Amino acid sequence: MAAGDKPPCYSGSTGISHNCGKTQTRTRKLTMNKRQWRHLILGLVALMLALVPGTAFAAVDIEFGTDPPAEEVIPEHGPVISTVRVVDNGQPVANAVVEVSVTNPTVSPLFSTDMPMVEGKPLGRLVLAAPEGEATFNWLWPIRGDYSVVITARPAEGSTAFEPVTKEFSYQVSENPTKRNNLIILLVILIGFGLLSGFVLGRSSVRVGGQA
Amino acid sequence: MMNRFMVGTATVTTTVLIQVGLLLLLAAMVLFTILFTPFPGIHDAFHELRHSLYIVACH
Repeated sequence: MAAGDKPPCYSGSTGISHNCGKTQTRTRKLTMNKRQWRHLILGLVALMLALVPGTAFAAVDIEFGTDPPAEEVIPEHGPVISTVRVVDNGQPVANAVVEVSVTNPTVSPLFSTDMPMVEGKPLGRLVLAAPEGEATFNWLWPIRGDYSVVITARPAEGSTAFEPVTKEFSYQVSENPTKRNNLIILLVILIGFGLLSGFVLGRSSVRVGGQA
Repeated sequence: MMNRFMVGTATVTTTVLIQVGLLLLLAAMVLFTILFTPFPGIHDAFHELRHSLYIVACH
């Protein structure tokens, strides 16, 4: 297009004409029937309900802890005080029922625990009332390893305060340090016995050979 | 009448390899008997020892 030439006059899909010396705007009248209005209002109400908290079920959470904490728990030493809390934004939820299922850890067969027959098997199941949103029970953790603790919280009979929620916790119990030390002592004894035996046998072998 | 007893001494010479093998066999037998045998008399006697050794299975 040479300098000074006017661009072509055209009419776009928006209804606005360009470069035709004047601008023309077409307007479309917005009309909605009763059905469309009803759908629009229902949609807006649903959007408001979804965005406003508290109008739906409370989103509860489950907290699990022990006294002493897991790092200080020794297998077969207890009982350990275990606490389950059902909370909503940090506040206890009243009239709850908690169900606790514990599965024993699975340990490598090469480094078995002292009770391999319980490894990987269900340890127990408890159903506890938590009228104040908290349930406490005593528990004995039998072997070392990573336990699976599955806790389900649901409202008490007749209550619909919240939807049932299930959460899985991993509970790591370390081995008794005394047992670890005993194993080290046993290994030292065996290695010492082996070295002593090797020394005695080696020396006697040299004597028999007449080189001593 | 006098009884006569004959006493003889046999000298057996083994190589070091056999001696070491016998020693290892003896050690293995002792360890297995103490730690792993299911024979009730021995098993019960060393019950606490097994439970105190970290990696030795008992139950």
